[in-house]
Amino acid sequence: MSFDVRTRIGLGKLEAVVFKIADRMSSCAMQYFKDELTSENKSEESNSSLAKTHIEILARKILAIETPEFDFLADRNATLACSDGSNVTNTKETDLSPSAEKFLNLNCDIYWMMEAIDSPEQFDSRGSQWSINLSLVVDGEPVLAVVTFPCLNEIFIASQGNSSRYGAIGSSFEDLNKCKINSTTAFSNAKFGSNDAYAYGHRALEFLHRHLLLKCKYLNSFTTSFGFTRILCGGINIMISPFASASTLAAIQVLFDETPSAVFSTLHGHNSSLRYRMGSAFGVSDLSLGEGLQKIYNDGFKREIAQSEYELANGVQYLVQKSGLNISFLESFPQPVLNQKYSNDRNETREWIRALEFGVQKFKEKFENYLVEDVGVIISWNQSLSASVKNGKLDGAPALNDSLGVQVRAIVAGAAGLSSSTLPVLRKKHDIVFEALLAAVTLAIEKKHKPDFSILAYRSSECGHFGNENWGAEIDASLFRTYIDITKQIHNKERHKLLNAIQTKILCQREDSIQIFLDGTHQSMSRTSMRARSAVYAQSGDEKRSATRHFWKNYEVDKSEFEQKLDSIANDLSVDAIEQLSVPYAPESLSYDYLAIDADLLGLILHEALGHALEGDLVQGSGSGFGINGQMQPLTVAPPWISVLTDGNLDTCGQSFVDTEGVKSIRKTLVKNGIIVDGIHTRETARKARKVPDGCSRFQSVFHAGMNRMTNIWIHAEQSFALEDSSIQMPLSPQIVYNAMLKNGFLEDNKIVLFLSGWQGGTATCSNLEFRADVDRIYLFKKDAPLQRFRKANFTGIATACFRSAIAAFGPHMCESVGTCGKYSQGVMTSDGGPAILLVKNDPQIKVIGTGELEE
Amino acid sequence: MKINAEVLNHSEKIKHFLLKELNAGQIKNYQVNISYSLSKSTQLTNGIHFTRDPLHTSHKVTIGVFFSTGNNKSGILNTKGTDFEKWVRLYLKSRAIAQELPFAGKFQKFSGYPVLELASPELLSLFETNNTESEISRLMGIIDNAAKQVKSPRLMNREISVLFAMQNRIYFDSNLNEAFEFSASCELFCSFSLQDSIESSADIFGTVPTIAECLRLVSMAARNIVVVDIRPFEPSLSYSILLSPTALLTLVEDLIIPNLSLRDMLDGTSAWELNQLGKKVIENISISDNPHLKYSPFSSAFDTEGTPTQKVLILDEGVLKHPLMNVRLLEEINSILPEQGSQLRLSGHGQEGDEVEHTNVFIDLHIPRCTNAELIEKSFEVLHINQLTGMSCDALTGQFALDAEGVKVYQDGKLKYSTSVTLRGNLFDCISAENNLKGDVERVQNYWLPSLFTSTLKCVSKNLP
Repeated sequence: MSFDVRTRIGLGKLEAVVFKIADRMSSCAMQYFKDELTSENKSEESNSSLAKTHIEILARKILAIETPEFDFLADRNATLACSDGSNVTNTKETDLSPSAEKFLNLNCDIYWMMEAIDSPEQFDSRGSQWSINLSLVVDGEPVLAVVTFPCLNEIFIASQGNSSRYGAIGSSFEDLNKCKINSTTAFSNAKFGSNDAYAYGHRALEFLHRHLLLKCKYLNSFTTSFGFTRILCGGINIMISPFASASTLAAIQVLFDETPSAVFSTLHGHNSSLRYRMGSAFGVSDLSLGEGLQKIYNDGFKREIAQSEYELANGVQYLVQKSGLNISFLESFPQPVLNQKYSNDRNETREWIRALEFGVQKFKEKFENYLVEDVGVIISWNQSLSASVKNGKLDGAPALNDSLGVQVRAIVAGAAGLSSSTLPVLRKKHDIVFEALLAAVTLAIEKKHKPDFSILAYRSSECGHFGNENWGAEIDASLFRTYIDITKQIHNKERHKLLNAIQTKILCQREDSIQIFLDGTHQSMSRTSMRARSAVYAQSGDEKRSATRHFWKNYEVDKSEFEQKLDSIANDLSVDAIEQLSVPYAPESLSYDYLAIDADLLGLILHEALGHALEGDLVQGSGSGFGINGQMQPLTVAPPWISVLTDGNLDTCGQSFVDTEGVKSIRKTLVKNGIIVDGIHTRETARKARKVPDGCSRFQSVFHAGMNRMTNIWIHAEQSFALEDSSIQMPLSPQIVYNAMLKNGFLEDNKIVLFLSGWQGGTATCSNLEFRADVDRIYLFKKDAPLQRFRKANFTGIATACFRSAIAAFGPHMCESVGTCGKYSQGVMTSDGGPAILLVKNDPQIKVIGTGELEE
Repeated sequence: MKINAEVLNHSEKIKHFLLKELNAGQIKNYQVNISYSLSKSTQLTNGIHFTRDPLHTSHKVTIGVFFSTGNNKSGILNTKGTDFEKWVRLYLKSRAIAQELPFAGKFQKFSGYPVLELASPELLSLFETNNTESEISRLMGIIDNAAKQVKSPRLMNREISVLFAMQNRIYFDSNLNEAFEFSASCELFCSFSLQDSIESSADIFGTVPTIAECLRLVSMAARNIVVVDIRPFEPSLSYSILLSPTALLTLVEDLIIPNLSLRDMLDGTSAWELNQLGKKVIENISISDNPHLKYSPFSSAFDTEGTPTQKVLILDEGVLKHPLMNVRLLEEINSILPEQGSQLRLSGHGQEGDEVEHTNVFIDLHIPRCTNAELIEKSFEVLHINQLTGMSCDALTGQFALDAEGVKVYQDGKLKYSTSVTLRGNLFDCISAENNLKGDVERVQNYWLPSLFTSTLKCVSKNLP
């Protein structure tokens, strides 16, 4: 077959060829569609799978003869050899993985692309809305297409520059009708959506999708090809597909391109460079609708999405009215193109996507009017290795903990339902989805919510992989054994005779998860961390003391780093434990002029008192001292040179790239120049507060509900005095802090500075902002006097009084504390901090109350 | 109700695999725990369902294996939701991290397990008829309506939650011990928080509660909601403190319970030594553990090592009688301190590693008893502390300084004002002091204990507005 790539001459003749092939492919498919497999001959494969295989073989054989110079790309090629042994030369690697893409050079080759059965679930359930899609791609652009609907006896065909046509399968090529809608305006003027669309306009499009799919029940109105071809033949005016495979849309794109006044837009996949490789697509049947979409699209990327949400909603409403659709659609959508990088088991992932689809479909059959605002599944695999070593010997057996859990959260008419389970599940996957939807609607009905009640703020959709490692790797068991051996060696070193015990607990953790939401957002995450906690005990007579410290790294620490760090900690703790034997308890009341609070302790108070009180659910649920009638108040909580920031992306133990609602962590200023400006918001609380969600919906595990939680929070001081040691590490040396106080004049006129360091824990009451923290080390600084150390005091008071009394900051900003934050019986890891030292002047609302007797 | 079929299937597969390994001489001992749990729960905050408070259904299957190989290398594998093929791979990996331990654990053959009533017929019926959701709605309605009636100008939040849970547990080991139990419970929780104080809460558990029990739950939770002035504490020359059971439990959990760890006694990291067994280590306090309480979610017929549970008297009027232990700890004591070891026995409180787990704990103080109402009038000024928060506790010495909010100050038996203080002192000295009195016994979580009236602790005013 003669075809000029440059001029496209010969395309028309190719159309006639594929038209005939389509007829034969249709017959082949119908054999499997009609074939009721008996129990005797039933194989492991589904009917659609068998049909796909044979349609592909058929097409490949014919096209190898007709167009031997073209390659062929389809689902099955990689696993199929021609059963009859014929010499088919135009096969290639088929998967659209990066490696396959590189091998095939999809941007410049000429190849046929086939979707042998589009919507196999329709095929297998004996529905009619499935198609056979075949297209020719030249230099990365589809130029010819045929879409065949065997059950409906319809065929659509188009090639570049030759208009799109449709008619009955088996009719003559010349008898086909031209697809023509209602205008002769050139499509090119109305077309939008390009390679740049993803970078600039995708948030607007996704917002549009969300409304059309969920609120207006356009949820993949039809199976992909069927729905889009209904537009072309005038059956419907608009069709949105959040996910579509490249092979499906390559064909449809040509049909649209060749149909006057039809508008077809694509939303490109995350890692794709090809125009038709997309995560989403939509089509409309006339220019006015297209222009409306164009406007929304343009507006969407000109502004921050949170600001344009209501404007976009109005635009969508206009479009829905304009389209005039009132069909009750069947909900169904094909799988997203999940990158292999973050899915080690694509079948498992696809099964869950199907489960979402079927679960929602089942739900809609019973509760047609109820708005399914969001449904998402999170599949999480956690591994950990742990051991405790005491005095150089194992303290119990080393343990391997492994858990695979799944959570489905559904928001229906403003109420939430949750279903969680381990795998293998005791019930079917789509039953778990349905269970969550049913729970949500039960609550909605009980609370008398309107069926169309919605509560979630828009989220900027983030699809991709987060974390520094590939998905699904396993913890290195041999490295863990090495950690244990090193720990034993360090314990067995000769130490001071007053030291009677040393203990180290080692924990290596790895967490991998995938989350998929109904609106198409899908993410995977991986995270590895290593934690060690050491305690050293000293005894003199009946007196016993202990000192503890831990370290945390978000990677597999190599053995030399582990040895160095653990040895250093053991040495420091040994000195500290012995020193403590002669350190008195802090007296009940210590007088001072200034408090020097280290970054760890400062972070604890910030987290407990200010941070929790800034959480949206506590503000709106009337639990926060910063809220009045559920509204956050712009109160002054610190001097103008202090701000408070939060960001889950820091490399700390509070790291959280993307939350349980699929919202990516962002850096947010909560307090600006001393005044509260924002809260910590999930999608629910953000909507009420008219703010942007920040990726704070976190949970302890998939067996808990997500809620407003801190990740990392710290005080940012605009100006800060330098400390003499530039390589500052916690805990700070009291001598360095003393020198800084002396140098900057805070010890003049017999002033007393108390340096507070080393906390064991703390809490706060959000309603009145009262905090209390257990302080392990208290140093009293006085000019020309020796350092005095005390132990154990309750540092307590009103957090805002503490921060408002701040007069100076010292050293760099640090946000390295390791802590488990508890809220509503859930613990999550968090970090907090601020400048290395914050100096606070004496205030009657801040007290250091020692566990010892009154000061003499 | 029968054990879940899927769980049984897992149990059989794992047993088959372990027996194969055993025959190959790879494993000397193994202990296997398999559990399946189903729970349904929800909660309400001020009558609002946040998305954080969904109606939640949870299914969990967990498998825990402790094993030691022929050369005494021991390891633990805990897994949730793993299919059998993956389980085998994990098992081999857990073998790879196993290390030699001085004691591998010589499991005994037990003759029988106590038969406990851990689920009421009403609860069983609810699960069997799949009516838990409607029952949750009904109970939430009753409690929320009652909670709405609780008024106070400083009331910030009212929270209620309802949980229905059932659990199958299966145990088997290399010594042919086999055990299983079925438990189910209903747990209701209600709390109120005020602007100036931490929450005042109560919970009930057991069978499906009656309306009267629901109403009593709310009134118990609301009993600390009072309308009085808040002002800084101005102590009189002599004042006494009434610690509620909740506040006393905080001190006991932070300062006494850690010292009852047998592991720490052996290692010298507890305030008390093992050679003090049978001797008085503290005054006036007894602690016992009873795993056999009817319908309690904390009761159990066997521990994770398959040992049948028994009642244990841990501390008897301050005399260290019988700390809780697992198999390995008992072996270790028998080898290095046979005299002490001969006084000890396994009581079914063991866990993997060297951990132990309490069930239903009863704490008694051997001092004169009065009602709480009488105690309020025992001194001119009494500070009634309901809850303590903070972590300034030194278990090795008994010294502490903890915060108390919403403290009610009584003078001449009359409530005068509410305040915030830091409570400071030494619990060991306090418990041993003369002239202490005890009040009414209440349950707090899985502990039953009285309130304590004392004059030996100090309250430091925080001078807060």
